Amino acid sequence: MKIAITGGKGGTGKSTISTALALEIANYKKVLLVDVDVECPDDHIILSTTREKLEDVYALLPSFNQEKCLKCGRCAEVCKENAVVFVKDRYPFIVSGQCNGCGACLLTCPSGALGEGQQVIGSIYQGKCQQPHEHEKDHLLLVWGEIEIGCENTSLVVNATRKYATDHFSDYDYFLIDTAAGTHCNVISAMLDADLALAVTEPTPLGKHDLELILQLLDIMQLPAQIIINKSDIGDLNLIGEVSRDKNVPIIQKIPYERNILKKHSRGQPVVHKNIEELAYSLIGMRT
Amino acid sequence: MKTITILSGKGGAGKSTLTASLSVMLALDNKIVAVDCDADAPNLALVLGLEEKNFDTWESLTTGEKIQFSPEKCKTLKFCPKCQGLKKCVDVCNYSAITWNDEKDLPEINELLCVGCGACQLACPTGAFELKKVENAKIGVGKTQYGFPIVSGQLKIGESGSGKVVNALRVKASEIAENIQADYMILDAAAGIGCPVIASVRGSDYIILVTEPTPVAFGDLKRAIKLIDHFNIPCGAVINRCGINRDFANHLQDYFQENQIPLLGMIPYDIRFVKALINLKPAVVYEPNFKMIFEDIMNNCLLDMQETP
Amino acid sequence: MKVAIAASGDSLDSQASPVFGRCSHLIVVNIENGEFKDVKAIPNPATVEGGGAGIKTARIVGDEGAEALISGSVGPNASEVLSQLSIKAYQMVPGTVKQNLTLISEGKLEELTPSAPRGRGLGMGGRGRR
Repeated sequence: MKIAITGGKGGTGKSTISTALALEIANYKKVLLVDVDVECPDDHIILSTTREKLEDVYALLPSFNQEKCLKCGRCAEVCKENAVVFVKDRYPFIVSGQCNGCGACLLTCPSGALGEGQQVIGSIYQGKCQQPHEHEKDHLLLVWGEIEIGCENTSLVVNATRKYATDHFSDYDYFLIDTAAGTHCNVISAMLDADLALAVTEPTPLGKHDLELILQLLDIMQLPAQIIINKSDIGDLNLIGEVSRDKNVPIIQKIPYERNILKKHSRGQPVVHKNIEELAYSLIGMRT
Repeated sequence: MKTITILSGKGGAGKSTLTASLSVMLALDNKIVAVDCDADAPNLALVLGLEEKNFDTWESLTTGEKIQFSPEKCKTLKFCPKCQGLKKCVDVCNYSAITWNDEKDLPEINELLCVGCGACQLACPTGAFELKKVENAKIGVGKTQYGFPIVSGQLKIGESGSGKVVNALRVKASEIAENIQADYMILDAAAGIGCPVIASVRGSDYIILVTEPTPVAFGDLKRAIKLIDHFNIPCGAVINRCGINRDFANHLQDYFQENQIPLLGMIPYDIRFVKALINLKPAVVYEPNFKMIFEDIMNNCLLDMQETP
Repeated sequence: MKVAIAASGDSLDSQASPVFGRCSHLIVVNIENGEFKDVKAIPNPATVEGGGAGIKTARIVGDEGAEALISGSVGPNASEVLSQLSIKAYQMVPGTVKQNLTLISEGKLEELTPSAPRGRGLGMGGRGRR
């Protein structure tokens, strides 16, 4: 079963909850934690895992064969990213940082002067928990993606990480997918094959505002959703209650803003809390 | 006019909190325009107490294109000598946005994944694909009660192109800045270091990095610093919630010193910052005792901006 | 020598622009024996673009056949284009277009290289600020 942990707003506690939940479920089942916040992945820090590169992620970066090039400039015309530069009477070239790998220039070149080169846009890693979580070693594995800094093709790296996880770790009972903040293509790509999405929010006007946005997305994606209220004892729970009733999305757990949780967070350590235990148990019980 | 971008990498580090209070302090003696460069889940206007419905204008934005498919033009398999069921569209899409529906014997476009590159349009021999402009966002201009305008955007859920939306927001803000002869434009960047953040960083005069003293925020910060190095923009740092881990705060200060990043200020951990957010007021307005903290940050920032070429 | 300069206006008396990709105009001049010939002011169409702005503006410099560019700063994408086109970029000094062109004809402008030292704060690094 694939469960996405998402939320729209940054800092609501997606990684805190993902890592805590992964550790808890790993007491009973095999869990693959997939961190697809590829711009700023955090789970490997929280769980103090090892770091082993699985593979690089490539995007198409067309290469020019000047012998065949007619200097017609059509490649530059079709490029929507302004990545192909054509100065009259000179050979065109591609600005690699701007190229999004769509291949339009390749398709349009009348003389076959463009070849299928590639560039590394990110990498996929795996990591096992180190002390003090040794006992979960075989039951919990982290896989994460990291984008090359400066690269704008985040969703391609998210996709590649997600696909790698699906292709290579099908023997795991549960996938927990820790998405990035936001509601755009990275987050969409992260949740494409999820069975359930847990939207993490906080009981504040900002939390409510962003929760409504993420629930809208989950609705469009036709992904069943449930709400987790983090930092539940600050602010006004009714704000989220309203959203839950309005959108008919249940609130399945509340996690309070306790001192020991903040302490763990400040030390970059995973959280342990009875509410996470309960949540884990109910999620496992839900599995069909 | 100078542009200052506030960035962190990590979500929830305090960008909007800092942007709001810094803007209020700056606006006391300067003309400014604030821009919320998080078009996915914009919060800055709310932090400044301005709700969507109270903005002056909202207009729709069409920065994106999506592919549209005409099934009647698709001549697959046995009937079309050109395509011959080669499913070129499926092959050329590098965003996995096109899959083949075996039942209907037609390609299916996943609109959520289509980025509007037009590769399929070029590949299709029967012209069954056409790029059409789509309204993918809306952009709003509002007046805060603190004497300065704010420009904010909202990406239509499910649409792509948040980077392009940020560009459009900046263009709009530049027009306003020109009209009011603004001294500063303050950009509140989104979380992460991807395309909308890059759009907030490009062409900026100064970056304020906001972080908190935790290993996770530090990891993200280092990635953000590499990004701004790529663009060669001067920066300074602010440590938020500095009391939650004093040892780590010291470690951060050492790091900044070693890397010649000036520390513009430190914001203490205080529940009143949370209360300010809940009450939709900038921290310096909710608790005037906080003014000094942000005034210091502002002065250090302006000083540093003058010192660097 | 054909020189392009990023400008905030369309004449030699306009201020040189500190930015490149979004400058309002590109002024192209043929400098021969210290004289400014064939002065051409091109409004920059890239002012409303995003990441492609610098690239587009750099392409215009290439199209005009300039060998050198004067600007305040050039982003990484634009740098790549200029480098591919073998166009040297020079650091502008605050002042008019005319002043900068005079300086470059006298060989007094510094080259702008992508690896130029970061403009990080020089006077304030460190702890114990309060």
